[in-house]
Amino acid sequence: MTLTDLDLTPRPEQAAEPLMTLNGIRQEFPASGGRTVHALDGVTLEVQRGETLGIVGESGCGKSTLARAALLLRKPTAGEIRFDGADALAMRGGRLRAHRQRAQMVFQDPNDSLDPRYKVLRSVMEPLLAAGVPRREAKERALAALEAVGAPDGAAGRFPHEFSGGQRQRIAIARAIATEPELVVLDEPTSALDVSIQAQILNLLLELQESKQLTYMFISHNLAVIRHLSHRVAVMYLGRIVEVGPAAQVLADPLHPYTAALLSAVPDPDAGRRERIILQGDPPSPTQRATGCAFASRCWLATEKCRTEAPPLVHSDVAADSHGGHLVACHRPGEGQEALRLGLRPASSTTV
Amino acid sequence: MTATIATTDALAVEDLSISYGGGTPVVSGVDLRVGPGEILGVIGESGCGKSSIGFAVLGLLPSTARVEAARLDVGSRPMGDADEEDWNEVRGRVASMVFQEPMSALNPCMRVGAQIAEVLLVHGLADKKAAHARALELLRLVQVPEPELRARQFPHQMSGGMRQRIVIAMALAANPQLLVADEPTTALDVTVQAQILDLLDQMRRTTGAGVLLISHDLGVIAQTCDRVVVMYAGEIVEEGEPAAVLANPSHPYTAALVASIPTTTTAAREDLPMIAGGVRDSDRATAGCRFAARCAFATDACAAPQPLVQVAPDHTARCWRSTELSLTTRTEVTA
Ligand SMILES: Nc1ncnc2c1ncn2[C@@H]1O[C@H](COP(=O)(O)OP(=O)(O)O)[C@@H](O)[C@H]1O
Ligand SMILES: Nc1ncnc2c1ncn2[C@@H]1O[C@H](COP(=O)(O)OP(=O)(O)O)[C@@H](O)[C@H]1O
Ligand code: SF4
Ligand code: SF4
Ligand SMILES: [Mg+2]
Ligand SMILES: [Mg+2]
Repeated sequence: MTLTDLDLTPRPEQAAEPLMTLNGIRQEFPASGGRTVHALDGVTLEVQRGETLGIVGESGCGKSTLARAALLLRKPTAGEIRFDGADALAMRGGRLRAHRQRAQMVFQDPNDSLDPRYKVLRSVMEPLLAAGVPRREAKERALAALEAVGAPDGAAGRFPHEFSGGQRQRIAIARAIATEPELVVLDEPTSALDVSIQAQILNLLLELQESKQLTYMFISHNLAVIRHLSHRVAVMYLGRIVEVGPAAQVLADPLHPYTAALLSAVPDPDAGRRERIILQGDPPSPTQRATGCAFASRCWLATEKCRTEAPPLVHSDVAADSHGGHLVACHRPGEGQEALRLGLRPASSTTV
Repeated sequence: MTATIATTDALAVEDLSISYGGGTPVVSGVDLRVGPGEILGVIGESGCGKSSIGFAVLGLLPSTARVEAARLDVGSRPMGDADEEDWNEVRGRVASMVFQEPMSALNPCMRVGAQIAEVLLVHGLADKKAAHARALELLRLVQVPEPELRARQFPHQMSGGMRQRIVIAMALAANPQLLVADEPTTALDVTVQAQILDLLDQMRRTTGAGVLLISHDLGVIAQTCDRVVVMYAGEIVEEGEPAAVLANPSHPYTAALVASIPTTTTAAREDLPMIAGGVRDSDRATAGCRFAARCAFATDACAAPQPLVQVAPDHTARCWRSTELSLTTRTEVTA
C-alpha cells in the first residue's frame, strides 16, 4: 500500500464542532540578556472529536509547550482555548477540576507521571481523587484502567521501577485514561522505547481510541509514527504551524518546503538510498522572532517577500483538495515538493 | 602520518566474545569485516551488544569486561593481545570513535580548534603550527562554516549538529583507517541527522576510512550502509546488503523487527505486527536458537545450535528454516 492509496476521508465527524480550539496561542519565556523566547508564536488549531491530530516538528519548535498550554498546565502569554465550546482559560475551582478529568496527558518519560515512591495503584488513582471521585470508586476505576491497557497481573501493588520501560508507559497510559477523558495529549510517548515495544504501545493506543472514543493530540518528532496514527497532521517550525491538513495529503503532497524537506530527510528502510533534500544549518534561535517567514533562513525558495512578509496559514489553490482543510503558511506553496517530483535538484539536495 | 588510502581492511574480527564480571557473554561468536571506505551497519534493539562491540574494537571496555577473539585486527594492527599502551597508540590514530553525545567527547573548557589540533600533538604527528593549520583544514573538510571563527569557539557555543561535526573532525584528524560511530545521529533532529549521515558518507569516500556504524534505526542503516549485520541477544542473526536484508529478510527476527516499524508503506492506523515478550538472560546461554522463545516458526529442531547459513550470494542467516520459510515483513509474523 502506498500513501496515495490511503483513505482520504480524514476524520469521523468532519462537520461537527471541534472538541478543542486553540486560537492565537503565544507563549513567551524570559531568556538571558533580557531577550524573549517565543516558544509559541501564534498557534491556531482545531482538534476534532474522535480524531488523532498529529503534531510534528524538530526539537525546540514548541511541541511540548503547546501540549502544556492545551492542557492548561501553563497559562499562555496570549490566546484563547475553547474546550467543548467553553472558555477553558477562564475556568476556576470546581469547573477547572471537572475539566481536568476530560483532558489528560501522557509524557515521553512515564516517570513524569508515576511517582517512584508509591505503588502503581496510587499513581493511577491520583487524577481520580483529584477530581473528587470517592476512594472506593477511584480504586475500582484505576484497576479497570490498568486492565484496559494490559498491565501485568498484580501491577497495582508494585512499584514503577519493577517494570520495563514499555510496561511503565502502559501504566502511565492507564493513569491518563482512568478519568475517562475525551482528550488525551501524548507527548512523544514512544520516543524512548525500542521499536518492537513501540509497536505494542501504538497498537494499544489505536485500540483504546476505538473502544473509548478518545481524541488524541499526538506529538512526535517521528514522521513515520505520526503518519501511522494521525487523521490530520500539523507541522510546526519555530513556534508556528506551517502546514496542517489531512495526513494523507500533508505527508504525500506537502505544500510547505519545510514539510517536504522533513519528509525527505527521514531515512526510510523501504526507500533505501534516494534523492533527498538536505537542509543546511540549524533552525534559528527562538529568541529571534522572524519578521517574515520563520523558515526563510533555511529555505531554498526564499525571496525578498519571504523575508519581510510573514505568510499567513491559509487554504491553497495548489492543494489536491482545496476544500479538505489543507492549510499552508508559504508564499510559494507546493514548489518544494514539485521540484523533487520532477527530479530537479533543489540547491540543497544530494543523493546519498 | 599513517597511510592516507588504506589497502588493508579497516577492521577484521573473528569469533569475538564479550562478558562482564564473569557473567553470560553479552556478545558471542561475532565475525566482522569492514573494508577500506566501506560502511558496515550494526543494527539491533537495546541490550543486544552493539556498543560493547564498538568499545571492544577500540579497547575501551571497562576492566570488568572480558574480551576474547580469534582475531581482532584494527587497521593493519593485530590487537588480540594488546595492552593499554598498544591501544593508546591505536586510538585516535588508527581507529577513532564518534559517540551519540558529542559533548562526551569534547572538553567544555577548550576551544574546538585547539581540541582538534591536540589529537595530532598527542600522537606526535605534527608540531603546533602544522596542527593548527590541519585543524582548520579539517573544519573545512567537515563543512563547518567560517572555520577560523568556529575554531576559536567553545563547544557550548555550538548547536548539537555542529558539535558532532567537530567530533568527526577530531576523529578524522590523524587519518584513521577505522571510524566507529555509535548512534552518531540519535540525539540529533532529522534534518541535522541527514547532514551528518551525508558527511559520513562523503568522509569515507574522501579519506578511505572504513566505518562501523552502530544504530537502532533501520532507516539510517538502509540509507547509509554498504552491508549490515543484524544482532539479536549478542549474536549476529543475519548479514548482507541492506537492500536484501531489510527488504527481503531471511531470519524471522529481522522480518519481525522490520514489520514492527511504521514506514511510508505500512497501512496507516492498522495494527502493527508485534514481537511478543522480550530477551531473557537465559536466551543468551542457550546452545540453540536464541530467538526460539519468541519465534512464530520455532520447532523442536531449533534447540540445536544454529550456524550462519548462506541463503543467497552475500547473504547469510542464523536459522535452519530460513530457506524454506517465506517471510514477509508486512503481515503477521508472530503466532
Ligand atoms: N520553561 C521554559 N523556560 C524557558 N524556555 C522554555 C521553557 N520551556 C520551553 N522553552 C523553550 O521554548 C522552546 C520550545 O520548547 P519545547 O516546547 O520544549 O519544544 P519541543 O517540545 O518541540 O522540543 C525551546 O526553545 C525551549 O528552550
Ligand atoms: N559496563 C557494563 N557492565 C555490565 N554489563 C554491561 C556493561 N555494559 C553493557 N552491559 C550489558 O551488556 C549487554 C549489552 O549492552 P550494550 O553493548 O550496551 O548493548 P546495545 O548497545 O546494543 O544497547 C546489556 O545487557 C548490558 O546491560
Ligand atoms: S514563505 Fe518563502 S521562505 Fe517561507 S517557506 Fe515559503 S518559499 Fe520558503
Ligand atoms: S532457528 Fe527456529 S526458532 Fe530460530 S529463528 Fe529459525 S525458525 Fe525461529
Ligand atoms: Mg518536547
Ligand atoms: Mg548502545
